[in-house]
Amino acid sequence: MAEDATVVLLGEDLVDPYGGAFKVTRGLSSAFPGRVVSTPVSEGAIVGVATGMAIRGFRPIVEIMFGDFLTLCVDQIVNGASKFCWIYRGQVTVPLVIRVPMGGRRGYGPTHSQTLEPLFLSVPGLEIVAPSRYHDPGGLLRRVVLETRQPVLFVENKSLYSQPLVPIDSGVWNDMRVQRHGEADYPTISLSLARDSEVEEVTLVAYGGMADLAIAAARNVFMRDELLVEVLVPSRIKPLPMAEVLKSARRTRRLVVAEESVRTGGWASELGGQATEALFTTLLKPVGRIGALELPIPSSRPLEDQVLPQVSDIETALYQQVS
Amino acid sequence: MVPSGSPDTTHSMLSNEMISNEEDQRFVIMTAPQLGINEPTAQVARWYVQDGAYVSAGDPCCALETTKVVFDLEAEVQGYVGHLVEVGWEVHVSQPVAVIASSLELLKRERAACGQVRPADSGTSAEPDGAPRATRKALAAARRLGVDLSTFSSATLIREEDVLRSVGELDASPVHELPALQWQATRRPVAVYGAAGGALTLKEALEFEGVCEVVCFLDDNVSSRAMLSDLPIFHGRHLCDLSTQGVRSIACEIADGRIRHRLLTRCLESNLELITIVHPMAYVAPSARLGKGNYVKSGACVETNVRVGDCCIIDNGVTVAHDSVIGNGCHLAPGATLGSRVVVEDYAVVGIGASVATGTRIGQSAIISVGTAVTRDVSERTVLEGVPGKRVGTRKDA
Repeated sequence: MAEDATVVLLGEDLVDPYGGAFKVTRGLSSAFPGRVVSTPVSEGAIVGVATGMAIRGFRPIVEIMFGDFLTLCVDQIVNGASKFCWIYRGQVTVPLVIRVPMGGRRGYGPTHSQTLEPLFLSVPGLEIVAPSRYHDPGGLLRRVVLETRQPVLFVENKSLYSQPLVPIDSGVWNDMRVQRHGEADYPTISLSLARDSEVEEVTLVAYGGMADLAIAAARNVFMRDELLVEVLVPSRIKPLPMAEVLKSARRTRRLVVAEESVRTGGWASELGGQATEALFTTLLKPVGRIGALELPIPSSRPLEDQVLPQVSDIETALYQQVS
Repeated sequence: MVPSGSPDTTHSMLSNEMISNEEDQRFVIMTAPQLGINEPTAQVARWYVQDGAYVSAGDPCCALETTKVVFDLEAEVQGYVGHLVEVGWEVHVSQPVAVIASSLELLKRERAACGQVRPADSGTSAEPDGAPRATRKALAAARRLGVDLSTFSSATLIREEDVLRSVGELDASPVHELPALQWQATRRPVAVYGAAGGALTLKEALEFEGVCEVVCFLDDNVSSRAMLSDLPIFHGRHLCDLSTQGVRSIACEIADGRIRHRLLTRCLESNLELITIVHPMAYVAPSARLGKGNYVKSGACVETNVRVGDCCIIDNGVTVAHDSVIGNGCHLAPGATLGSRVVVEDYAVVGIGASVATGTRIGQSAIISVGTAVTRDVSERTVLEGVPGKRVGTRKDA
């Protein structure tokens, strides 16, 4: 906001002292008077207004209090923001960033815990960025806000708000070799316990909040059976990080994809489908997909754990690849 | 689970209504089941319930681990649990692990009667900060070879490879320098995966009729300098180099069914054939069908229309009656007797001398302990013990 005066912030309860439901915007309304707007409770209207502002020269950031309410914005996004650059034959751009706290594991129940971004995978013109503890979320947000020319869903897994970032700059973290791959702007991070001359046996892909579960599973199967897994954590999930995934899966010949959303029709399904198209004769096993059960997310924490994918589910899928 | 009876009655303790009436001075001793054919001990990994806590029938009480199996021992009756062993202890099969009593008073008395049998080897997996950190395979190798892991750096994870190298047990030469193997030209060369006692039986079975010749052993736990029966033992990583020397057949005798099954994939990737061995003194009916990598030992009888998947061991004296179906990576231990139309799903283990009733199904990765009678279907990952077989807990690793 300091770098570009056209950046404005719209959403519910953003203004100090409340500073947003997860306190992400706290202090901004005081630092940038007039550029942070607390709106009425109408997500469709917020995104519609922000889309209009984006067309007319602003760089708006919308905060949807819980990503679950993105369903109220679907018309504005699908029939509006994502298509306008084509409908108006390139005369307008829509540099709009919609921040959506997603994910469960906090006992918030069926309508405040979902991971809905896969619903938007088939929307042309929309990008989806999802930081994790292994990326620089501030840097990613700054980049999409200042540089995008099209609408972006910026997915924040709410279980990560309280977690520290993982220092990866030294190239080693927690015994794992850490590397950056792909575009510098939206890197995919790889983590592996393999030594220099070794090739991992399975490629495991996960983004956002699932990255930590994937890395725990990779570590567990190594400590138990010395099964070597390369974990890939992309920062941009649409377009899909296919180049990085295929590069790794070509070496390991086995691919598992883990996500927190419902397994049916999810991100893993699309990634697995594209990987199979490219590597049908290379892969030794069908692509493993981990996701939530096709059920509403219960409010009870123990029941929620039954519905959402766990570390042990990922371990089982990894073992299935090599059995 | 051993029903121990109350002081004043010999009535079985196997009922869930143990403490429901005036006859409530009852207790049950829970013992460690046999989790592997060749594994006489297990390690106590954790307690799920505190000492003295009240549990319901079926609640997991404690986790036991062997090198191959992780298992939850479940309360068969409700009552107060007394710990008889501590986390990290090595317990023997049938050693009392816990007592469940209908009252705290009785618990106290019975626990005193049991005493605590501290094992000779009370190795613990708990590591203080700064201590070396090692994989399970490295821990097992260190224990086997008597290597002191505290001499290793705590900065990196210790692997099996590191432990082997520290005692010169690992072949440091590059993989392509596999020494030249020799065999009689008229015979088919075979490499045996596994280097324990069972591998020697496999060698004898293979060579019994003078058609095959075993040229070397492979094992993930042994060096290339080790020998078995005057033949070299190479590390398993040499598997992919065998075909360069003209060895295209692999036979397998290792205990873990999942590892056997995984070996099949590795062989396919390396263009090797994992062969099925039937000892000449075993009977396999002409209509029976066996997959790849199976080993049917002498004295076994595999009857009409039996179907066996891949990578099973059908041990000495096993009877598999007609129309039974055995999955992948199963082990039917010596003397196990299966009635007709029995189904054994992948990776299940049927213990020595166990009897399996006609038409029953044994679920995936279930373990039937030595001598157990299976009288009805066994769900997956169940550990069954006794006559008639009773569920004593759940396997967690598979």
